[in-house]
Amino acid sequence: MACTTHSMFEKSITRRDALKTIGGMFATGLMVQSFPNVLFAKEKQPNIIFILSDDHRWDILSCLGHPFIQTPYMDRLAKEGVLFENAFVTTSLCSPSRASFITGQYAHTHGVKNNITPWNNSNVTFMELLKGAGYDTAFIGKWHMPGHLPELRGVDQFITFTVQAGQGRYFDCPLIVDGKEIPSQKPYITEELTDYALKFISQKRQKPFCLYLSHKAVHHQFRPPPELAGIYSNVPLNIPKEADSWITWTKGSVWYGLLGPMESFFRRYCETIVSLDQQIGRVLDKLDELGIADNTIVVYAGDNGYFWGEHHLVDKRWPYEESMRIPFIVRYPDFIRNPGRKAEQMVLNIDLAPTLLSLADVPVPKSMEGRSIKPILKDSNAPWRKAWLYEYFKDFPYQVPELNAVRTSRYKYIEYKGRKPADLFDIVKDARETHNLMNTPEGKQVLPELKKMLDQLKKGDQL
Amino acid sequence: MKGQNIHLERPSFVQRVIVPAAIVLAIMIISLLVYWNSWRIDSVGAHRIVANIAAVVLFVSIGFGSLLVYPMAYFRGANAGERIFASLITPIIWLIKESIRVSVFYTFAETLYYGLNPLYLAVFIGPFGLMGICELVCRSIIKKRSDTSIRVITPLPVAAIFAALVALYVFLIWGGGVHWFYIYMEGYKALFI
Repeated sequence: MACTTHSMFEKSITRRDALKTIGGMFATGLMVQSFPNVLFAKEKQPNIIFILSDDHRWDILSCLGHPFIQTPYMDRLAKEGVLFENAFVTTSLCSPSRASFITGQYAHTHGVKNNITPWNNSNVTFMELLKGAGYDTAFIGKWHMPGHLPELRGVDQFITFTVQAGQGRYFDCPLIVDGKEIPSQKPYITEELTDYALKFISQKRQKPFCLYLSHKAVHHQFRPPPELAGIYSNVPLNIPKEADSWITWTKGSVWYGLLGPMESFFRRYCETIVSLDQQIGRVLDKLDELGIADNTIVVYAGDNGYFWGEHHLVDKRWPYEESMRIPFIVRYPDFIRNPGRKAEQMVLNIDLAPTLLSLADVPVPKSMEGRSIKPILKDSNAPWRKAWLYEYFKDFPYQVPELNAVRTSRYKYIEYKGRKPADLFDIVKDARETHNLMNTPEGKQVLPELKKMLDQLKKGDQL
Repeated sequence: MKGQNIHLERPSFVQRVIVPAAIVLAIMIISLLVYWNSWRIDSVGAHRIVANIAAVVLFVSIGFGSLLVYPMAYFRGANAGERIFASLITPIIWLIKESIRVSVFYTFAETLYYGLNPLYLAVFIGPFGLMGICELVCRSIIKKRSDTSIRVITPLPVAAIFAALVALYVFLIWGGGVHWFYIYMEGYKALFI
C-alpha cells in the first residue's frame, strides 16, 4: 500500500513540495482560525470599572440577608454577575489593601505595610499594563497611601484628595484634579466622585477604558448625605452579645475616633452604605444608557471589613472574619454565562489585578502574586487555592500585634509577634472564632499541617 | 491652701492622702472589673444596663476622680503637694495599666512614646484643671466657714485651670483631635521610621 501510494504521487509532486503544501495548509489553517482574533482583538477588549469602597464589611448587603439595610444596586450587580462569598483581603488595613488591589501583590512585596510606610513609585499597577494595551484610564477618588501623591504611570486622569492625610472629607472636600487643587463642585463627596466617573465613562472614544473609582465612603466618620441621615435611627441593631455602647472607648479603640455610643456610629455607617449604593446605581444606569453594559466588567469590592462589636472590637486589622472578609462582586454580561450565582472559592484582593488583565487579554506579570479568577467566572466548580496568607504589620499607635496567619476553608492559624499567644480556630464549627483550639487535642492534630502551610506561604508558595 | 488649719489634730498621712486616693482607685478597679465581665450576664437588657453604669463610673473615676480626692484631702489637712499626689494616683495607675497592656504590641521605646499620646496627656493634665477648680471652691468654703482673710483666687489655681483648658483644646478638641494626633504621628515617624 505504501509503495502504491508513493507511486501515485511521485509523478505529480516531490516530497519537498508535499511538505511545503502540508505546512502551508497547516499554517493557513492556523491563520484562518486566529484571523478574527487578530483582527478584532482590540474591539473585544472589555471596558473595566473597578469600584472600591472603604471599610464596607462583606455581610452588610441586602442580597446577603442583612436584617434592615437596602442595597438594591449592589444586589443588582450580584444578580447579574457573581458574588464571591469568601472574598478576603491579605491585610485588613486601608493603605496596604489598596496597594494590593492595584498591584496584585502582598504588602510584604509592594511595601505599603501599614498607613505609614510610603508607596513605592516603582510598583507596577494593572492600570499601567492596561494603558500599555491600549486602554484609556482614570483613577478617581481615594488614593490614601503614605507619602506624596504617586507618579501613577499609565493613568490618563488622576483625581484624588489629600485633606485629612488623604482620608478626605464627606462634605466640601477639595479635590486634586490632575495635579491642581480645586474646590468641591458638589457638597457630598460620593456624589462628586461619581460625577467625575460618569464624565469619564461618557467620553467618546475608540479605545476601551479602565476606571478605578475609589470612594471615601463608607469610612469613619460615617457621614451620610442629609436626605439619608436618620433613615435607620430606629431599627433594631442586633449587636453581638459581647458588645456594648462603650467599646469605642476601650482597648485603645479611642484612636479610631468613634467617641460616642457604638450603635449610633453603626446606624450612620449603614446609612452611608445606602448612599454609596445609590451612586453605584448611577454608574450602572449610565452603562445602560450608553449601551456598553454587556462589554463592561464591573467589579465592586471593599478594601477591608469592619468590626461592629464582635470580639469586643471596632475597626479592622485583626485577622478575624469580620475584619478580613470583603464584599466582592463581578459583573461581566458578555463573559459570565450563568449570572446570579455565588462562588465559594476563597478569592483575595491580590486576585483583582491578574483577573482584570487576563479578562482584557493582557499578559499577567509573574511579579503579581494573585491569581486570575477568570476560571471561576466561567465555572463555579473551578479548582482553586486551598490556603492563603494573611499578614499584618505594626501600625502605631493602633493596638494590634504584627502577625501572620494561614486561612484554609476550615481552619485559621494565627502567629503573633511579641507576647500574644497563637490562635487556632475551626471556622466551620466556630464561625465566630471564640474557641481557641491551641493546646486542645483537635488543635494538636491539625497544627503541624497548618504551620507547614504557613511556612510555605511565607516563602511565596501557592497552595 | 490653709484647709489644714481647721483641724486641731492633723490626721495621719494615710488618712489625709491614702484614704481619699484609695476610695477613687477602688471605684475605678471595681467598675473596670464589672464592665469587663458584664457580658457574662445572660439578659441582654441587664448586660447593657450594667455595662453602661460601670463604664460611666469607670471613666468618671479616671477623668474626674480628683473632684472627690482633692477636697477630701484638703479638708483632712493634706498640704498642696499631698493633694496633687493623691489626686493623680488613679489616673497614673490607669496610665501605667494601659502602658503595660500596649507593651504587648510595641517595643519599650515605642511604649514610652505611646505615653506621650494626646489622650494620656489629657488624662494627666486634665486633673490639674479640676484641682484648680477644687482649690478655689475649698478656699471659698473655708472662708465662709471660718471667716478668715484667706484669698480665694490666686494665680496658681487659675493658671492650672487655664493650662488644662488649653491642653484639652489642643489635644482633643482642635480639629476634633485630628490635628494634634497627626503632629504626634509625625513625631513617631521621625523617631522610629
